[in-house]
Amino acid sequence: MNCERIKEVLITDFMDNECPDALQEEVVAHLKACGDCRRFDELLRQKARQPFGAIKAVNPPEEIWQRIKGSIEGSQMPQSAPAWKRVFELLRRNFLRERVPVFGLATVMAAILVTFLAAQAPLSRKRLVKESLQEKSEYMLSLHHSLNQDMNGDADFESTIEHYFF
Amino acid sequence: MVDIPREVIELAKAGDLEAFEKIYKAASGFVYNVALRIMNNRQEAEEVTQDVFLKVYRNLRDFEFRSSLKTWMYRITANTALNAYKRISKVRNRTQGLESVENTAVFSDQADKDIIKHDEQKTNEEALTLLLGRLNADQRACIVLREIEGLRYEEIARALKININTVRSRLKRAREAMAAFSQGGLEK
Repeated sequence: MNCERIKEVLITDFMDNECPDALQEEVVAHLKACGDCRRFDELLRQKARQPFGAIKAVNPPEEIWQRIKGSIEGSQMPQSAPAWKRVFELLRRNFLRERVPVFGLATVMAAILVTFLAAQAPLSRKRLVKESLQEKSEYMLSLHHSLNQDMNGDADFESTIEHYFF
Repeated sequence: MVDIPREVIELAKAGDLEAFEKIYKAASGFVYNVALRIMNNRQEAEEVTQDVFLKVYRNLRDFEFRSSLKTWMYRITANTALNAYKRISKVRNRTQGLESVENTAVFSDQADKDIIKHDEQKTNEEALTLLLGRLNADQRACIVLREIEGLRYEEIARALKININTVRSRLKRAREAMAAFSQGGLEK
């Protein structure tokens, strides 16, 4: 095995005692013979392992347990609660424990909204066309009405030429 | 993490808060230390610890002893801390622009450093905080589980739900980065 491969093993399996026996022996034999790999191994242990050995384990502050306990007790239904509330809580905990799929629901709601708006758009256009047609119809009717009035006012000739012919 | 007797777990599963407190006392050191090294921030580690134990309490009734409680808790701890770290990093990235997230994590805990009284211990803490700050969250989770809790590769792979060779490569990169940072590069 060449030095490059040995260094690969040194940085992982050898350092962590994960080598099979045969490989372990091979690496140990190589280290005895190779100063460069030996220095690499020493440097590695000094720089990447020693910092962890030098620190002390830290205990969490006491108030964390109090917070956890408070949170658990706060979520539990007291015995004094009405029976229906306790039954509901029991059902909720046993059958509705899955998280509400917020993003899924939001997507569905967004899709419904878009569909609704898309459906509304042609309707509003239709309404505009209808109103416009209605206005035009009313205008035409008023024109027609005034024309009829003009036409029906036959006894009321306004010009001499009309008098002449009619 | 010390082993927790099965009868204690059974009692806690049934909702016994005293039994759950025993689980907390046995596991809180591990959970907090792993969270602290992954988050690189004391206050965030406290929040992660609280979150982990609330998850454990709520899901304990579904625990069926298929794996050990330890393995199950390793997984919850690592996932909760990694998710929290990634979520917070996103927010930091957004608020701090181009500044490196890793460095931000390292230098954001000035208040934590004040808590450590002893000079030598302070130096070690600072050195480790700086070194861990050079790693990404996934590498950090691997190296912390290996170096602080002494988990074997197979246990790390199970806890993080990754391939054992991924554990190897993350450890390798993490150690290379740590050595390179404090030495100015490893000779190859």
